[in-house]
Amino acid sequence: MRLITHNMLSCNIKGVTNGFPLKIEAEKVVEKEVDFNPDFLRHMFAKIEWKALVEAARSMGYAELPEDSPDATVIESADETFLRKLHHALLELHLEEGALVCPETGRKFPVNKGIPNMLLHEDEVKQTVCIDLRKGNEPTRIRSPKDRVLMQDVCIDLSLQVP
Amino acid sequence: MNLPVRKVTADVNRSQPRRVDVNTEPPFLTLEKLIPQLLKRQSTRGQEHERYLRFRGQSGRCSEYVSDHNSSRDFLVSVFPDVNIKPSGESSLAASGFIAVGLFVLPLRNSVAQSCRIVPALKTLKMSTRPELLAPPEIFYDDSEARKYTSSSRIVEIQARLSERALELLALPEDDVPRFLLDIGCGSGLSGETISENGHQWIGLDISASMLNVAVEREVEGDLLLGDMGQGLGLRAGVIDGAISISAVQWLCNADKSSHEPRLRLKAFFGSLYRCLSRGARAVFQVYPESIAQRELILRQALQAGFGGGLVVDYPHSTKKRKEFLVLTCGSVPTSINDGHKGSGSEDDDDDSEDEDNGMVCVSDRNRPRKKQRTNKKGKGREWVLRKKEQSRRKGNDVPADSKYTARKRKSRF
Ligand SMILES: C[S@@+](CC[C@H](N)C(=O)[O-])C[C@H]1O[C@@H](n2cnc3c(N)ncnc32)[C@H](O)[C@@H]1O
Repeated sequence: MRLITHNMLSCNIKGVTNGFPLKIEAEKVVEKEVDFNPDFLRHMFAKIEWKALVEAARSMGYAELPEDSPDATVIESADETFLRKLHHALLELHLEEGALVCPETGRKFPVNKGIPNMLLHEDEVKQTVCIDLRKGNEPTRIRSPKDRVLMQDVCIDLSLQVP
Repeated sequence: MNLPVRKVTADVNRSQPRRVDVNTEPPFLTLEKLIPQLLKRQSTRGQEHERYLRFRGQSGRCSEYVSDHNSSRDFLVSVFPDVNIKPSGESSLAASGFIAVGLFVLPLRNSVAQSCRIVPALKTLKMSTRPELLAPPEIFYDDSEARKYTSSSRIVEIQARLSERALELLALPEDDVPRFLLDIGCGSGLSGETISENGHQWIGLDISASMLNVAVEREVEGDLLLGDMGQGLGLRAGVIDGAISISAVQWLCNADKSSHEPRLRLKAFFGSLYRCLSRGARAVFQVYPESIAQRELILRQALQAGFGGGLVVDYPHSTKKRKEFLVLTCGSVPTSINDGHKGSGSEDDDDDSEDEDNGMVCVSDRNRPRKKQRTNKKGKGREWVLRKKEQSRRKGNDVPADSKYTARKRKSRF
């Protein structure tokens, strides 16, 4: 996983309000050379959360990025020194083995062979609660398919209350 | 179907599996007879019911182990007179006992018959041509299936063609700037490779570790994530330039665990996708819906999540070549969230691609939910009304005379 992806990832465990940025615990980092494309970097720059990137790059052993987000003139300028650094940080550093840690819950998502395992346990998935009108307002989980059919139209999905 | 000695007795009331030695016991039913019967029962149930026939329970009513001495394979066949879900205490697939497929129950990682033998046994039986009905995706796409999938030149070619088409429908700006895309259900990276060939960067998400391992071996250029799209995508808002998904979303229509509810999983998926796409971005899904109901379920959930757009069908008249693409747009007209502009916008683009493909493409309007069709603000216009009235007159109907009030504009609150 490269840092461009890390910069987009957040933890979506139920109840977590700020799952970004995931902390990187690096065990193995590899570098792979990628063609330099300033247009792509300029396009992506607006979407990058700068602080998270600086922090992430540092935890991968790369400390060349400036602490504060450079302004637009640096991005657009013909001098490519900065863009080269950005390029290296975003696209050439790979987290091969290690873990991503949710900043709020401390839940670890292991990274093996460069692939973060983002699968949630059942109890971490944003829950849906059903209100069974026949039995008052007591929330119950859907029990059987029969209930599901009966209650299909009174399902309330709590996960969508955010943001 | 030509099967060797699989013979089975089916006693649904016994709770313990009983081993049947097919060589000594008098056979009641042969598997060949049993399967069509069970499948028939399955399909005569209502749509709603059918979807929930696949579930997992710890104390399924097992009936018989069936041994096939020729291939030394064991599997368990079970008849479920009723759907019966145990809602609690299930943690992982492997830990619990069974997976029910239609009316069959198969033990997983069981000492007698291991999942790695069961699933291939089922595949060779060809009980269903739809992989979604055989097993959950993370079980179906095991190591051997992942390898088989990726080494078949036919599949590689089909997937590449589908991905190419999906990218075309994504209609990214032609400014040679690479974009940051999402490949949902990326599998072994066949679809992702097409994205790379077109010069873009991508993240791939898949639920099958085996498929992702093959992708790693093939050194795909995108980043890979192991995840379940039905749990929602954990991505920041507005960062992705577009998403494609090739032959994957229909998997969400099945409930593989008792906690699964297809409608809500689709909702979680589309909701989180909508959030992470940048405004004006598109998502294109090539899907194989099992039925009209399934197609509508997918489409409805997408529209409810806020997407505009509709269905594009390539080769609509060929059963074999027919391919469906769900083309979704994400808030391209910021001021009018729900007024059909988006819909008509994407239709125009679809028309462009129609020309390119020599008219092989049509936009299927029939399957679009009614809501979409009603939302054209401008209405049909006076000319259209006059023409329709004229047509009706010619048929001999009693039609009011035309006047200056015909098809006049109404106040907006009307
Ligand atoms: C037919 S394969 C297509 C793979 C790839 N897109 C291609 O074109 O070669 C479908 C893929 O969808 C994945 N899939 C199914 N359900 C999924 C889910 N809930 N979340 C993520 N991926 C899923 C499967 O693991 C499988 O790799």
